[in-house]
Amino acid sequence: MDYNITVEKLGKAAYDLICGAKEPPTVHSVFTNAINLKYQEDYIITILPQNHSCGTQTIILSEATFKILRSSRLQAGESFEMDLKEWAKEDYVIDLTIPDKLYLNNELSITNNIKCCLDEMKCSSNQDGLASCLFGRENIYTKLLSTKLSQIDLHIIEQDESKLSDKLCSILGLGPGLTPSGDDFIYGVLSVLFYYNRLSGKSSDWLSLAAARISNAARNLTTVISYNMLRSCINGEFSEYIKNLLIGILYGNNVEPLLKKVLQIGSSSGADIAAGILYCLKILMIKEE
Amino acid sequence: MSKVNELFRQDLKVINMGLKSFSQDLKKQNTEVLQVDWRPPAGGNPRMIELLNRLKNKK
Amino acid sequence: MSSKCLIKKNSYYDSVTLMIITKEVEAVAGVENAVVVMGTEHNKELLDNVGLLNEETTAASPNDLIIAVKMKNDNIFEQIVQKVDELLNKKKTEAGEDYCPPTLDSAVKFMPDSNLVIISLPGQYAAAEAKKALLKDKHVLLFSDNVSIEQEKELKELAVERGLLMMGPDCGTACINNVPLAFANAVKSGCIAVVGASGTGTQEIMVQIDKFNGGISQAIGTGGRDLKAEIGGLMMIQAIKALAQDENTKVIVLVSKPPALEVAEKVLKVLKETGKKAVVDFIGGDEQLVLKYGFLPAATLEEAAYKAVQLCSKTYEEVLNSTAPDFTDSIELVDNMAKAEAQKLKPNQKYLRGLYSGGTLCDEALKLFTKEIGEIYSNIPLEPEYKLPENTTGYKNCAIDLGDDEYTVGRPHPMIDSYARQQMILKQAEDQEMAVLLMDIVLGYGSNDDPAGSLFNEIKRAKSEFEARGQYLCVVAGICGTENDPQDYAEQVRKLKEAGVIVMSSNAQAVRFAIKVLKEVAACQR
Repeated sequence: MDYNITVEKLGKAAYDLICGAKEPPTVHSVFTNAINLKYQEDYIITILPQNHSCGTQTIILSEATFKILRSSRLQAGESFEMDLKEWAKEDYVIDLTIPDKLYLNNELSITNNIKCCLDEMKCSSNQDGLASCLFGRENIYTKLLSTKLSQIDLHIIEQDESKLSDKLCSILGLGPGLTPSGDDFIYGVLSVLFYYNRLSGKSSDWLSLAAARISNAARNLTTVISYNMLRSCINGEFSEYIKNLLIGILYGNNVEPLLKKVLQIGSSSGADIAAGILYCLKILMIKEE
Repeated sequence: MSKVNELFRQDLKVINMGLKSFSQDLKKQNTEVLQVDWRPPAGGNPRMIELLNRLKNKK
Repeated sequence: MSSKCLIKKNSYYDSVTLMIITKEVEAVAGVENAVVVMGTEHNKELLDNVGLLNEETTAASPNDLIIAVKMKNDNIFEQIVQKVDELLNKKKTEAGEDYCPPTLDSAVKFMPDSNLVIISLPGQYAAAEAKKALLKDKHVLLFSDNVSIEQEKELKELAVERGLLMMGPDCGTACINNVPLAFANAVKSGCIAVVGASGTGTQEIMVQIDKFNGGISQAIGTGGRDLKAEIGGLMMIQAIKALAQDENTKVIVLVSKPPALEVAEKVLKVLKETGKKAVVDFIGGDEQLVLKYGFLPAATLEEAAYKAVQLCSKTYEEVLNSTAPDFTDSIELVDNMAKAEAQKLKPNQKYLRGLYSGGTLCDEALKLFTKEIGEIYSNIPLEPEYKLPENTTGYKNCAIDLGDDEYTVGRPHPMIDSYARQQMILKQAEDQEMAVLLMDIVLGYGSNDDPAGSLFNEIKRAKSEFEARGQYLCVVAGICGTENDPQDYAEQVRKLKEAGVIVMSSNAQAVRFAIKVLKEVAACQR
């Protein structure tokens, strides 16, 4: 193909996968705004156009480049013959790790930020999945949530990685969407725990262990795309918009625009991730009290 | 005629960078408006977030 | 009741498509409910719970799409299958949504005849984007603050050089060709132009002009620092020069905090050269200076509006000594209302507490109060000695500008988000010495969709707390809004009245009413 590819940014795992690959990936699925490539057995890289959240297994292309790629009628299963190594420049790799040179807001500001997010979500988020659990509204999915997650607050506070991962595994693959709501919710919960833990200066080993257990279970309990999403958080790396929102809530203010970005992810995915974040934060704040 | 006076004689055609609600308000009034999906040049670093936080909706 | 399911093996569709399928299937007549999920273990468990699990669904894998439907009669299932296939195969039009280009460059390419760029990005980036826009010969409304004064100077000099409008930084209000921009009210079109270095000041003047049955030709915001010595009124002068050439403008109103003297003289000179009639409201500034140049000063924003409307059909001499009526309603009626309010107050209640969302409106309240009664504290005091003591929410007589930085941490401006004011109302309500609670309700584009409604519960609660103590709380609000504003003016008034608020149609009137009540109280005590 004889056009210029403009890569805007790249997740670290995508970079590593591209550099380490012996064979070209195959096309896994093609959507209006996403192209998924499959490596080896079950590694997925997602290609997105500008103004989408960049995760560690993501490549963000300029809008024009994405459109060209999208219009080249890629078919699921075919080999993706472009030279991805041309794309993978270290300069494009963005930092999705948890920053360590920030100072935590006081509890009141965090609580305020949480309230701000809840207000925003109440009126403007997609609540077809699990997000409605925040507002006491019931649907067939949230009905299951309270029993499945009972006592999770204790496991979080006690940092009991085995019980925590068991609980969270019980909602793996649950709910609507290509990344089922339950998985998005778990992703949200884990993101908070990783950030909060880092800040309190504690070791994240127990969390990595919990995340590893969950992603292992996810391999058989959910879709391959979801599995990849969960696997990516073992190292405490979360996609760009999630990272920005968490920094906003825990270290900053004016969280509304950051939350809105998250809510734009997928159809209900963004709302489900945010639900996980707020659900977990509320538990942590109660603990602090 | 100065460019400002030219503006006074034209239909407003607006490019909006930032708060989307300004675009929505203009659309409601049937004024042509194009929203720019602007993002910080170096997306995703904490310094940026800090700057974003400083954006007050109105002074 | 029967249930059936459709399984699409190894099928990946994006979440939006899956959601659309759910909604469309649920909309088919005779469908009880539809569950569209990937075939994971936990989703199967869920299907079992709602009675939709069967052999087929049991066999599905996490990468298969299940569309399970419970319906009155399974003869509609064929129709559903067709519907789903149709949706899944439908080619999505790429241009379904509005196109939002990622940069100013691409936006200008897409809309080459655009003439105005509105910028509300973080200050750090705002100036650079504004400069780009000016270099492309676009007029700019720069809403952002946190732009340095050096940058402001550079931008305005560039704009003047190219003959463009550079409204802002920190320009919150404008109305160009009768289109309200940023925070602005829907006002009648007419022959009065407003050039304002103060956002809410400009808004109030426009609104009051509308009330006095006048109309606006243009309203141009300059940003709050334009008349500082460093900027030298570059944009106010640029605007006045353009209005001089504008045949739709007969009368010009200038509004600004008191400018540097040399800047004021420079601006007034240019204004003189236009040959147009003008009202100059250098809020609390030197009236003699204004009179020296042959223009009309004004004591309040409302009065500036009143005089401007008068000037449309009368001469300077005719208008010079006329003043706006103190109240829209008859003075007897207002006096009786004030007496009635004052009588309900208890002897220990003596203070005014103003909670403002508009900075200039708060400033106006301070000035009127100082003139009529005396010392009043504030976070934006007239004299440094009346600075509200730290960590207090209320102190003696005081009026607070809640739009000031210290109150907006982590939240949007109080004109958009009532949170800070809700909290403050409740805090103030604890103070038994408060007699009158005074507020501004700013309507218009950009503002909260329902400001009166958003404060309703807190006002009621504050009132009932006073009642519980055997006291009474007088609440007064001035509305800055017109009947054509998106919020529904009449409904806003109705809500306020229902909450027990005395509603006035301008800030000046609301302040005067509050003063009347306090004077009544003082008289009774003597």
